Amino acid sequence: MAYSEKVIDHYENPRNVGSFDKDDKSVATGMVGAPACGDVMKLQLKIDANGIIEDAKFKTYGCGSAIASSSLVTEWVKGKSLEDAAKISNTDISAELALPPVKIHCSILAEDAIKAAIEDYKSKNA
Amino acid sequence: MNYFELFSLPAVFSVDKTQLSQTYRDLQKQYHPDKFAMQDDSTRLKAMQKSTEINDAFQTLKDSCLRAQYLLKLSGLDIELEQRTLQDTGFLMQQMEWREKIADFTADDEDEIEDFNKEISALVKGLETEIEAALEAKQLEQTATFVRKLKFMLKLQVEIELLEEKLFD
Repeated sequence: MAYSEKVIDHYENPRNVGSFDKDDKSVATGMVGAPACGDVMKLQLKIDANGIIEDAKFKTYGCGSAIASSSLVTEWVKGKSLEDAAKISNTDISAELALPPVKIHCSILAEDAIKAAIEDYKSKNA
Repeated sequence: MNYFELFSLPAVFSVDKTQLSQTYRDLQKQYHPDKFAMQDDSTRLKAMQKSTEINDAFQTLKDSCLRAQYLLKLSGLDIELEQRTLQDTGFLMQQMEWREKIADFTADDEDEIEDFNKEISALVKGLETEIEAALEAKQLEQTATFVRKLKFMLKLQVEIELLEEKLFD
């Protein structure tokens, strides 16, 4: 299966790989996994006092499409409010990366990672 | 006819591997395309379809994860093509740690890799036992949760195999 140029770019030069301290109150952590392929994704957002995402990091063990989807998402969420970040959908991600149908679950994983991170932040700061 | 019926096996999780392989060989012989070479097109086609079905059934029944998934499907819960994500944070954190561990192993860690491999194999066996019990109790959702977890564990085993090939072959 051929990967699109954008997937290869993110795969070869992943943006924002790494971790923040998950116990930091300003850090939102989303852990998700895709049973279909056994891929695991961790997305972390650093949120400032105004509720804006100032930084994002990810760590993904999975195929090129899963890595590209999470790398892309870290770029997209920066500067967004949590509300706007929650609007990013798997169709946006798969369209941007030109993912084939069999790799749609990778973009679903990335979308769910954002949502899981936001949930984590809300429960931490409730 | 479902795969278990095709192989004259009871539709339960635990299968007799020897019997499975033996039945597979017998069925393959019985429906081998060579035996139908002189028959008409429609008979040959039917034999070929049967032969394919026997192969599919064997691949499904010999693999614990596919077998559990197939039993779920027979009970009306089809998770084969599902796209849902797993959000069990504790389980996934552990998966992440294990993947990191695999990524950090070097050629000097042969013993550690062996121990790790045993640890994961034991956990896979444990999950299979839980799957068997949940299926027997007809707890379909619970079974599905175990099967999803099993997929991550099997992926780990594949990663360990690839690592060993890379480091030691």
